Amino acid sequence: MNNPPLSQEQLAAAISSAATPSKLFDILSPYEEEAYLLSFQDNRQAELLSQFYAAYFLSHLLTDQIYEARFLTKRMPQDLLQTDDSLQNCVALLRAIWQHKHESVYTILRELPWPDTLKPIVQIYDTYFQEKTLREVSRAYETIRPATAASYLGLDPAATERGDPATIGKLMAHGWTQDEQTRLLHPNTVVDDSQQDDQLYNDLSEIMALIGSRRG
Amino acid sequence: MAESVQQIISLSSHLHSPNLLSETDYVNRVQELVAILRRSSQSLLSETVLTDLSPHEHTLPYLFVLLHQIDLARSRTRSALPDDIKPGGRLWSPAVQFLREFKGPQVHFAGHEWRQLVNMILDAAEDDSKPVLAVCVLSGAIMRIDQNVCEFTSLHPRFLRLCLLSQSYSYALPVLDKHISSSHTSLEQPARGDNRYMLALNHDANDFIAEAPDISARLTHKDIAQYYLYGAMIYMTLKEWDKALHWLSIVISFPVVNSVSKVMIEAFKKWVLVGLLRHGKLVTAPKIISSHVMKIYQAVARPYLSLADAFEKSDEQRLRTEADLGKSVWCADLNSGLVRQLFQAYDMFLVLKLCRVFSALTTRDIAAKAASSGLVSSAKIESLIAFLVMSGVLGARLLQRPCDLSLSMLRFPKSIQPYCSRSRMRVGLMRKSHALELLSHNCGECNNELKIGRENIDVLVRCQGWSGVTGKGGGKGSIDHAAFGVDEDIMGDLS
Repeated sequence: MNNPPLSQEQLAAAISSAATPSKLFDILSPYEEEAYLLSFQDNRQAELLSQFYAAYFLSHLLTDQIYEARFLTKRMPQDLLQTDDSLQNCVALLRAIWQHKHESVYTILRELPWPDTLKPIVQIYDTYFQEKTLREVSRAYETIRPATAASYLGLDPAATERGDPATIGKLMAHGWTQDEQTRLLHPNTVVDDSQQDDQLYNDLSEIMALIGSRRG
Repeated sequence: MAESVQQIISLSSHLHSPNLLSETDYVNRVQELVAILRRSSQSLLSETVLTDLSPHEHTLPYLFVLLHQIDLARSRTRSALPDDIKPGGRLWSPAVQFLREFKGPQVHFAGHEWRQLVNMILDAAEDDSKPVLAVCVLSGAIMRIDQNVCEFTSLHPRFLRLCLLSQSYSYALPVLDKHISSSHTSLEQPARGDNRYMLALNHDANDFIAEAPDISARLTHKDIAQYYLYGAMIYMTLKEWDKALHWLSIVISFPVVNSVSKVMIEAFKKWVLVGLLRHGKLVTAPKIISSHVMKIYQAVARPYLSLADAFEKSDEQRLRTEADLGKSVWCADLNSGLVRQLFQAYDMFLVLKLCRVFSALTTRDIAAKAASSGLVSSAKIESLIAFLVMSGVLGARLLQRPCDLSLSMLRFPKSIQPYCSRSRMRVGLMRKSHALELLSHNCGECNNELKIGRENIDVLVRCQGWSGVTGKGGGKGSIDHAAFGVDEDIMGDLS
């Protein structure tokens, strides 16, 4: 029941061993109390705290808890938040996501310095954010210019614009097509789990039966 | 009768396997153990060392020994909140360990002591300006003590208040998402051997649940109103506007005799703003609110209603003027954040209104129609529309042109793929289904308690010789309500 104490080894092990983002969140979540108490100690380990809070913050983003990620930045030790580079990166990332500035999100994830412990999770979030945006763009656009798609998806704008096969190929792999004449891209809407109709119907029937039985 | 530590431990050990005991035996043994612990001398409790006990294995002895040690620390330091109990103190860790591992059903029989410990933890964390520590541990503790019963206690509003203070809102969600179905407003003790104790619904042998009024202090109207107001505030911070609106509407619909409480006024002001943020208009007030209460609300929340009027009429200039004029009011009511969000919502609803009228639009059209707002450039408009479509708020699709960067077309196809996946819809439906089931069960319980259940009415009808009324259809038209001298609503149950 008791977790091993928070340490850099423990944190690195959690990041590398968690099979899914929600598992990572579940592993890190119980340590918030310990990290909070540590932050009041005179000889606190600033590096450990910074890496824990940054990893915990990213696990919020990976589980789509954007509002909670924002409030986590308010619960972190504020003096550390103001001075620590990783935590400053987290704040910049949060701001970019909040303001829907996709290009900035990729710049922060790919170009700002992140500690080695956090690099794997930063990479996972980059992929997650790109795939999520791809689904959203596919739903929102019927036709989209290559440059706009590149800015949303963190692709090289020049390569996308000139129709570089390696870049465009990534989009084609998701069912997108390109009009040779206009160069416009036609996204393919991703439809998910449509085969669940039967279960949905059964669930609805149960609810209707319940309502019906109360009227009798 | 002199008891020994061994006797207490032995009695506690017998409770480890409740599935080997009958329900009555289990209840009797727990009550016996609590009685022994309550009358145990200080020397006996001092003999027991906390580190020798496991809060999970020996929940009740651990609780009493811990409280005894807290009492000792209090009398030693002559302080209600000694450093030992504060976060990081000597007794903080054992207290937290207890709240993480205790056995819920046993604690129900020592509700007074449990409440004492929890209140101390809350006081200590708040006094030490570290409320987040209490919130982390209490969220789990509240869920564990009340897995099935969904009872409202005095702890609920205090817990939510601390969640707000510490800005740790997700810890409140498991508690908020649970439908409250009972509350105790008196301090009466359960009589020994009566039928107040019941087995948990899932028939898990470990889940003996007892209705124990002393888990909660005496509840007041204010406690319940505050709970729903705090809950709504938590939903607001997470932008779950529908839930926030529902919780606020519960507070503003509270029954009143003459005056309206301050909590209700606060809730009404927030209800106006949340309605605008969710629906873009002043939502219709619940019909249950009496006209005199509504008049009071309208009188005290006038600046809010003016703001709502400007918002509804899409008068951006007036909206800004009203927002500026009322700055001191929003600040005093702590509603500045909500008012600030109105401007973002204003742009969104402006676009949504246009989209309801036309079947296709260019971003340039929208820019011309929304000239009064800050949406002046096509690029800004496209970015807003793309966000609305990508987040599922607007069911439309954007078509970019190959050359004209400033012009994109917005189409509203008849059939849009639902942005909410089917699996999410199914989860939502199942949740609603469980809530309905619980509501339906509790309605039945209420009917029985008030003796207006179908069976009671049948018995009443039979006893009074009204044969021929029940059984043969009992249609509404066949019953002479006045002749029975029974309230019409009660007879409604027969139809």
